[in-house]
Amino acid sequence: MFSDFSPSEEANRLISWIQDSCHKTLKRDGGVIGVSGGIDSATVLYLAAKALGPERVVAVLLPDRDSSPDSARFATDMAGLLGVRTVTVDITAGLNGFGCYEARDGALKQAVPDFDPEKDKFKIVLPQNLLGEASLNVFSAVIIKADGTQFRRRLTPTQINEIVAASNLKQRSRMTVLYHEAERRNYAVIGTSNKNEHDLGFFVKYGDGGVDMQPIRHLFKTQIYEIARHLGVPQEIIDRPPTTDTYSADATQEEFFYRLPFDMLDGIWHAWEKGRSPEEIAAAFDLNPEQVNNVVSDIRDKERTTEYLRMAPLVP
Amino acid sequence: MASLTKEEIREQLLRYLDETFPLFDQEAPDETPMAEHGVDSLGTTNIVVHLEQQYRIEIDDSEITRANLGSVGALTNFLDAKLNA
Repeated sequence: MFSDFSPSEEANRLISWIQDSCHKTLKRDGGVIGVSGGIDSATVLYLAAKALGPERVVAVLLPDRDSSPDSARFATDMAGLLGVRTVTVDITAGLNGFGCYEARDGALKQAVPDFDPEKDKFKIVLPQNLLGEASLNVFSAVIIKADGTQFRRRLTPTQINEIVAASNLKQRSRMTVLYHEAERRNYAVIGTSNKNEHDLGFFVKYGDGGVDMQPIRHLFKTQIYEIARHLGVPQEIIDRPPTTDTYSADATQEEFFYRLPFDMLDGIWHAWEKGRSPEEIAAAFDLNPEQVNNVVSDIRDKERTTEYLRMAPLVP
Repeated sequence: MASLTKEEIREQLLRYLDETFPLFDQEAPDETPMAEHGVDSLGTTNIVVHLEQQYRIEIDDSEITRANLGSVGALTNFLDAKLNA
């Protein structure tokens, strides 16, 4: 797929870049990374430990009451392998103070009056048939009752706004704690956003987007997998499906936002950026040109409608 | 609801879109993608909720497609078919 991409060369380039950026440009003594036990933060942690030395890197775990316990276990084990210190700050009490759960669950109850936040789980999803009908992006809530039954309810714009605004308090709280941990050590905050997240707007402005450097922001998710394998990131982390780790039910990033497996999404996107025609791309992926056009339209719509997330504050 | 002609449907839609979306361009061709009018996923949801409430119709998730809602022209055809089928 990425015939001109060498994971080892790119890893070495990024290790030098992190070193220079941290010490020479930012003039910080080390780096702090929020780790989730997922592939992106694992890869950045490995790169940073090599670039700065494990003793100058801190892995910060920032769970809340909705986080999967697996996330903490994977992150702690990985930091242990690298000899990197971990700090755990549970942000649940802070989020309670901000009214995060109350606002979010209140909006959900408007859509689903019998939703019980104490017993039921939920996640937010997009339609999944991107290769079939050219469906548009409308968010729905999937409620999972205690007995395992599931149902789906489309959300109104007001409900979505309320749920997203409340959920974004999580990422912004995490950013605040990361800067606290960084500043008390004169360290930089190292971000873990990739190209998919950055370009398509799957990040929170001044949340996970609020960092001092972004070493993997230019890389497709599938390229990050290649670098992770090269660096020796544990297989169980590579094998974990990427999740949002935001809602009480496990939601994969594919069902929440991307609507396609990463290998296909990245392959089509990369070929399109290289100027390949829909017909050429379709032939390479055993699709028809209309399906390729659906994917490209979805990419372009997401880029266009999330532009403001990538803007610096405007000045007159 | 009294039946509407296709042109009346189009006019009502243009009025609603113009009032709802600050970037909506009434002068653009009917085939212009909604995203170019500044309509994102929230905007699409807004359109669906509006159609359901205003015209007392039900729109299934499977109908929320580019072919049905992706432009003013598509939207007009879709609503016309729903109301006048």
